[in-house]
Amino acid sequence: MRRLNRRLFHRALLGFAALLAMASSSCGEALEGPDQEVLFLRHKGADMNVWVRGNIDSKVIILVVHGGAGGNSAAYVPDYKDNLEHDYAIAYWDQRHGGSAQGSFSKKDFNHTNAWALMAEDMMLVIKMLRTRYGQDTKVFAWGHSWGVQLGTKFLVDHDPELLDGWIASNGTHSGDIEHAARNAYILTYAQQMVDEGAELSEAVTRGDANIQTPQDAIDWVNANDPITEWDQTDVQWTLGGVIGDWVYSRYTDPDYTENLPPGALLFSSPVSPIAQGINSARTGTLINNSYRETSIQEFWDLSTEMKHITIPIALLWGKYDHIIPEGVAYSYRDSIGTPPEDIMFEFYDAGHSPEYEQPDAFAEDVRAFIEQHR
Amino acid sequence: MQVGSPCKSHPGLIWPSVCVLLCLCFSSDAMAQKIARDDVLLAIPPAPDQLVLDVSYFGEVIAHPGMSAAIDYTLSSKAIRLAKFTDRARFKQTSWFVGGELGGYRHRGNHVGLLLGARAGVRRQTARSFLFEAMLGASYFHKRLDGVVYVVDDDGTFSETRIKGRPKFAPSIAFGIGQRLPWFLDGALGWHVRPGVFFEIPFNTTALPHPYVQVGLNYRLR
Repeated sequence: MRRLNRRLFHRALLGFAALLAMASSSCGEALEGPDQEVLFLRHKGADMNVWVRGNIDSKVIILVVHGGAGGNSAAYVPDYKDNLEHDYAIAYWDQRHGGSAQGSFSKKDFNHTNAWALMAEDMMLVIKMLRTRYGQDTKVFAWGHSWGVQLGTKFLVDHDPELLDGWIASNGTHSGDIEHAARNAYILTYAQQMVDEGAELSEAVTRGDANIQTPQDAIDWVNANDPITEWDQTDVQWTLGGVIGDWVYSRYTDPDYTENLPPGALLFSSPVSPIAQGINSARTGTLINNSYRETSIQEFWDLSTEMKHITIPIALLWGKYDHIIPEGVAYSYRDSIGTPPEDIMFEFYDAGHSPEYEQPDAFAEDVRAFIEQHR
Repeated sequence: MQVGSPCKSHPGLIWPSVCVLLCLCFSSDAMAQKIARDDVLLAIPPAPDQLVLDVSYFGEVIAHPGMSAAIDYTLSSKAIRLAKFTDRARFKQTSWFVGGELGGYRHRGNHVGLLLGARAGVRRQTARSFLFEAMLGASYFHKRLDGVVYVVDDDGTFSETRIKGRPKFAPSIAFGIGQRLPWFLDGALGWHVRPGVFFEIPFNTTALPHPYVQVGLNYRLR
């Protein structure tokens, strides 16, 4: 018995030593290389992390304005790690109460009536902080995805757009109302195609009073619910868009997914805290992102009439088949800004909601072309 | 000798046999007395560990490395003799303890955590020296950002701040297994593996759980 115990003890010691070795080495893996560092912006109770990676010597920074609200910027690291990070520095900013962002503030200061403007102020300060850190001559572009476009547009409206050398927007919106209209148009277009081809819905949509069993039902529902003005309608429209979108994606998109980081790389060897990401996402969802409820920050708003003073170069790089923020929003966005046509890049990809993920090479090539034109 | 025939003893072997038997009788009697004496000694419960020091690797989410040290003081202890060990008395022992703990770890590029607090719990040691424990804790948690921290000054400019930390409260719960090593340092040394979770309060507008594991050695000081 004692011999067995001794053997067990020696094995435990070996395991302990291995654990120490793993812990001391693993935390460096994703942080390797001189060209990265973690900055924090402390502002109004939040400690927002900005993970700057890539070619800092390029004097060009792309600020990632992530989706959500309550999403995280680290999700985009696999998309950019092997392409755009070679050419430029990428600043992965976790928004207040999103990603791995930390801090301590009251929920009274973070609700659907005040969070949007506060986060736009945060964005303005992050841009200034990056120039403070890397030099006033550093070119700062920002790329917004999904909710990040709504946030970035709020920044452009509320603050000086010239703080940015260019704005890149992907599959996000500048108006909840226009988003609803574009989604209705999307459903009509593709439901009609389904009718023409005899296709069926992958699942029925039965929410509230709606009972949509067929593509023709979908067309009828849209015709009876245009424009969208009520919360209940947004619920049905969102769900129906997803069901139609399933058919559209399977028919039109051929994702060329980027190679992801090894499993666990972001869990064990990076500044990222997946647990914080989960808690932040859930909490933000409750406080400001609760779709279809009055506490949602993402419905029934419109900045389209306040964007004419925005004249900085803008790239609208869009997944053409996205049911979440359909292509109609991109056209409206282009028509709402004051940027001269020669400074607008307008590209669609055979992709859904995330062209940077689904068509990484084509997407990165266009981002590169846009930045080189305007740096 | 034929099979089935009675065995006949040689008359010359009788006396030596009697002597051997007498010797055996006396020696077994002496042995029996010794066993009885040991049994009496072993029937006394072992003294409880009054003061235990433990030093551990502290891994927040296992791989964010750190160290911790704690001292536990036993408030009460109860030993129960196990019936199944009738030849040698053995005991399982249950101890209630309170203690203080100091720990720290680094999540690179995220934060450095420092915990200072108290804990209380129960520890059971089996007859084979295995340990099982459960404990609750409450700590001051100092969370220091691990990076360059900028603040906005009143005039709108930015400056790096050296005050990177925030004070937090951290209640915790942990469960452990381990073993005393009877062959080493007279059984004063043991090992333990202790998974647990502490809660960072506040974290933004809510609380954040930090799972961790402690792997280390404990030593009976008294």
